[in-house]
Amino acid sequence: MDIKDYRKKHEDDVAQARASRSAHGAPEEFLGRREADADTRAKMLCKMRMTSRNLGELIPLFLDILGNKSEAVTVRSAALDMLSASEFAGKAFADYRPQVIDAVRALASDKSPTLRKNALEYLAQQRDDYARDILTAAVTAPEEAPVDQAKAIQLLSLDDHTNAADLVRGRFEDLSETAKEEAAYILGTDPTSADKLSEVMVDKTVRERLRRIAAAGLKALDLQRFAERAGVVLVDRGDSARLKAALVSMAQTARPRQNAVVTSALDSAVETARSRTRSKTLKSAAARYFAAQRDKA
Amino acid sequence: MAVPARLRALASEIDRAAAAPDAAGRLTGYFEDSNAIYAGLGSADVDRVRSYALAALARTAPEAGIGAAREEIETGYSAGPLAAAARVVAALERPDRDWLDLLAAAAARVRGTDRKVWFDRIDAAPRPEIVDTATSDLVRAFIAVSDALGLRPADCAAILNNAPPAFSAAVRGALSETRPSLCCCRHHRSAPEWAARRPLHPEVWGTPAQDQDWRTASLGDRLLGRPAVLAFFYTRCTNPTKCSRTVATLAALQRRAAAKGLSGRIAIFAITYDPDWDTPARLHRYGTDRGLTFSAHTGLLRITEGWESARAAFDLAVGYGPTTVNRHRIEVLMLAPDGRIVFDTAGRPPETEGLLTRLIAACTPG
Repeated sequence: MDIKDYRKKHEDDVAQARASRSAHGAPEEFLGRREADADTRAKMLCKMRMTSRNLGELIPLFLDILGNKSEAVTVRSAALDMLSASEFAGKAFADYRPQVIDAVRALASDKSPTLRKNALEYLAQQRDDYARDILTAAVTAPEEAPVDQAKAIQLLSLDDHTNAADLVRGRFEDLSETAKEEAAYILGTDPTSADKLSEVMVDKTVRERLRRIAAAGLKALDLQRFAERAGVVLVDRGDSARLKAALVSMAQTARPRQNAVVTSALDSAVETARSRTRSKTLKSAAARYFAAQRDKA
Repeated sequence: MAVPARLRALASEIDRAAAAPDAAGRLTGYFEDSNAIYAGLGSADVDRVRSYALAALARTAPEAGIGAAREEIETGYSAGPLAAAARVVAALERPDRDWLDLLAAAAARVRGTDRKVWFDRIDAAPRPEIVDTATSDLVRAFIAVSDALGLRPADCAAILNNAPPAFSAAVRGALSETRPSLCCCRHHRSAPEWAARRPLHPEVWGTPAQDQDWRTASLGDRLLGRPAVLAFFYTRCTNPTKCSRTVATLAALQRRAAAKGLSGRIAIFAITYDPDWDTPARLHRYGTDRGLTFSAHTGLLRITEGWESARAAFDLAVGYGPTTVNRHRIEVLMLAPDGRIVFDTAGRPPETEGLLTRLIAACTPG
């Protein structure tokens, strides 16, 4: 999405939220409008203002809706959103937390894919054991999983103290392209994965986006190897200006220390890429790179 | 949903150990952070196995679990390990009063992460019939300690007034008001269990250590010749009462030592458990954020060669998952100028004043 479009969408969302805040719903109103359509009922839920005083009334209501399998998915999904938000509404949430976690765990095996995904997103953010077991199984046996493999890997990556890096490194070649991208983010937190990332960064058979993610990960793990590999890509006429511009931008903020050979080789590769290209993006990335080096000097 | 096979196998081993006549001896091995059974597991899975073992110890030989329970209750944030540790405390025949403060503080820490807990099996699939939470286990432990000491709510008013309301209400409701008052609130925290340790192998001093400013020197060059405080940490530690607090305590110690005129006469260093990840740039940022002022005698270090040997030489209680540390104890040592370990905090959080007093004594002639 273009940055202007993104800004407009964000401003619209804020305006919409402001407008909806002016008319707060109440539990009685929601309960009294059972005949209303699902979208209307979901909106009524989302309009409820939560305070530390009324959490004791609202959380049981949201839990009831969440557990009601005859209720529409949009309404149950809105109840889950409100439960997630209630964590910020006051200290009283802590007293309900075990019940909330329990209810959301039950939702992780719901027949609705949307609810399963939303539930696992919530639980993964809480570093929940049950969610981790499900997500780990989703990586190893995706055909039976409640969420797709890429989503499972993305959610496992929220905790860099799991064994997710080991899990995805071992089966990297078998993952879908989208799952590989999520896996590459995880590998960027794992020092033993520098070889794999280094290999992917220069692999022209994979999507460019995956190569960029691998480059960012390698930069976090091993600056020198990142610089060496970036140098290879920058002078390769077969690689796109867009990829090269991304690598130069990464290199701008991270020159390898105490290795003059690598540093001067990278400078030379950036200069070569700049001189060969017509891409404004790459030329301006190179200009920023050299300006930053002058500032550092 | 099936629990990972490795966890299930470990749980079966623990069940067998708990049923054996020498359960205490067999179960205590599960609380060694560097135990090879944990190699390659993520830290949350290590927590699950340790909790399971600790709960088994609570049922069979609680006295043998005091050390592990104390560490959890003093520094833990996760519901499972805290609940299991609380069960150990609740089962003690003669609990110490110190537990009361620690249990109330743990109840405050676990509020943001509490959940239902069970230890009759290791899988985490939802169980609607379960009502126990870490908070309810901590409440039961508090009541058990109070009962063992013959205390009533008024005796513990100061502790309960500062505890989470639900915890305090549950405790107050359960404790008898008819007992004679025996004040527990002016209790004195016992001094850390300082313990002298064996001398280090001389080869460790030749280990190259790079600091936050990319300078490499041997450990001997950095640590020998003056009294030193040496801690271990890693920047990716997620428990704020462990590594972050330890490095912040070193920063406070540095400031207090400078005010006492000890600058240049002592060394204060911390070595990362995670040298591959903790680059000099990360060390610099981590130390600066926690108030350390780097100098020739103060800094954060990464062992660039020979980390395994150094880890063995210092006898560090640390274990590793596939990516990073999966479990560690708090390790803060004080070294004499000749490199002997003269004190360690034995897994307890370091306290600035305690360390400062030791340093002043070490720098005072005679």
